[in-house]
This record gives sequence, C-alpha cells and structure tokens, in this order.
Amino acid sequence: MNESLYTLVKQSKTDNNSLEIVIELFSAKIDRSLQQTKQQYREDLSQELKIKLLDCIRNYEVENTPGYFEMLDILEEKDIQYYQGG
Amino acid sequence: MKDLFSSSSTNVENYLNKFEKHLQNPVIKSFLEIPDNMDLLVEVIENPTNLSKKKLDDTFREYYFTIRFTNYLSQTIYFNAINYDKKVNLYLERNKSILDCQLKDRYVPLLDYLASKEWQEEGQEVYITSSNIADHLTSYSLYKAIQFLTENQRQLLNLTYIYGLNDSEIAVYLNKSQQAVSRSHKKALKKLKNSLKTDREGRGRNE
Repeated sequence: MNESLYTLVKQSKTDNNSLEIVIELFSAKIDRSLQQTKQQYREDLSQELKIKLLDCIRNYEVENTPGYFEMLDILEEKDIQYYQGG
Repeated sequence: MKDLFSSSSTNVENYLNKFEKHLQNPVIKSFLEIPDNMDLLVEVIENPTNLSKKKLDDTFREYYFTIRFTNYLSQTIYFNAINYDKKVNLYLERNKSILDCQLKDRYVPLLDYLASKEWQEEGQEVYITSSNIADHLTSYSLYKAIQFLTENQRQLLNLTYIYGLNDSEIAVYLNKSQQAVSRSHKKALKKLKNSLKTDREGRGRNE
C-alpha cells in the first residue's frame, strides 16, 4: 500500500476507488465478525457492515484529529479540569 | 526516554522534563517511540521554525488519526455485527418457520435440503414452460386420465392451472358464458377423479 490511511480516507469523500481500498483494508475485521452469526446470514451481514463502513468513512471529520501541539493543549486542559474537579 | 538522548542538548532535556506528564500519554509516548518522530520533535526544540513545527504537527495528526480511525471502524463493525444478530433473532422469534430450522446432521436448513433433494430425484428442470397441462403432471395415472378429456376441457385446464386465469377471464377469452366455463371445469375435474378411482381399483385387483 503506497497511500496512508489518512490520505485514503481524505480522498474517500470524493474518490470511490480510495473508499473501496479503505473498506478492503477492514475486510479481515469484517470476516472475523461474521463468525459469530449463522451461516445463512453471513453474506447479508457482510453487506450490511460494508454499507455501514461506507457511511462512517464518508462522514468522518478527518480534519478534527488534533495535531501534536493541539494534543498537548487538550491534555493540559484535561489536567486543569482534573485538578479543579478534585 | 531521557537516556536515549544523552547526546542532545539541554534544551531537549528541559523540554522533556517540562512536558514529562504529557509525554506519558499513551498516544504521545508510542508516537515518540518511533525514532523518526523523535527526531522531528528534537528538530522543533532545537530549531522552532514554522516549517519544522508543521511537519511534526502533521506527522502526529496522521499517526493519531490512524489509531483513532482504526479503533472507530473496528468498534463500529463489532457492535453492528452484534446488533444485526439481535435483529435477526428477534425477527426469527416473531416469525417462526420450521422450514428455516437447521438440520442436525446437515449444514443446510430444511427448506434448502428439501428443494435440492426433490430435484435430484426428479431429475428435471424447475420450470416447465410447456403450455400443455399433460407436460406438467408427475403422476402417470393422472396423465392417462387427462387423455380421456375433450380438447375443450384440456384447454380449460391449461388456462386455469398454468396461466392462473379464473373462470370469468376464461369465459371472455373463449367467448363463452362464465357459467358454461364453470360447469365444464367441474365436469373435467369430476371425470379425472373418476378415472383415477377406476385406475386405482383396477390396480388393486391386479395386485
């Protein structure tokens, strides 16, 4: 895989190929969760999960992920809240 | 972590001391355990330009995103799979069907098993496209009986049982009255019934 997950998900909003690759990346996890259901429903479940993933990937706010300095700020804030609360 | 960078300047050491608490955060800790990322941080501390800061920021964002997003999707898959199962079970609970039940010694539901077995034994197509009712019969006695019907009666049975028309529709089609169609329909069935009966009795005598 040349592209990172980050770029792929970003591209998925407009590019169906990237979307397909991301879903493919998670196919192992999907297959594993199929084990818990009965044989005759596995195909249906697999489809349902893929539809769900499609939604999740498309609607995920990639830009909301904090950068390094933002992360430090968040941790700092949490600390303050923690001390104030305590 | 400080030991790793004994060669680095006091700036870095000060920084690490200052933020030690935050550097214990699992995400930041694992991020900085990758040597390349640590180099980026050292670069920022030693030479805090916008470019180096942005590089560190972006690298971290990508790193954190991968963790967050993977976790998010894994959880989504896990919980949705469980919910789907619950939904299916609820549906089955409310719509019980014996044909759907799993057979003990086979891997298919009863319905599939019946279907496959039936066609194996018959050795014929599932759909017969013939419009002649004699081609649809599986009983030899009935096949013989149907040969005794008149052409009109056979046509009537074709229309009723193959094309699924009702008596009034057939009446329009054949340009007869509905009562006439109904009468000859009944007569045809009665004739078949009698033929089957005599056939059965005849066989009974022979045996």
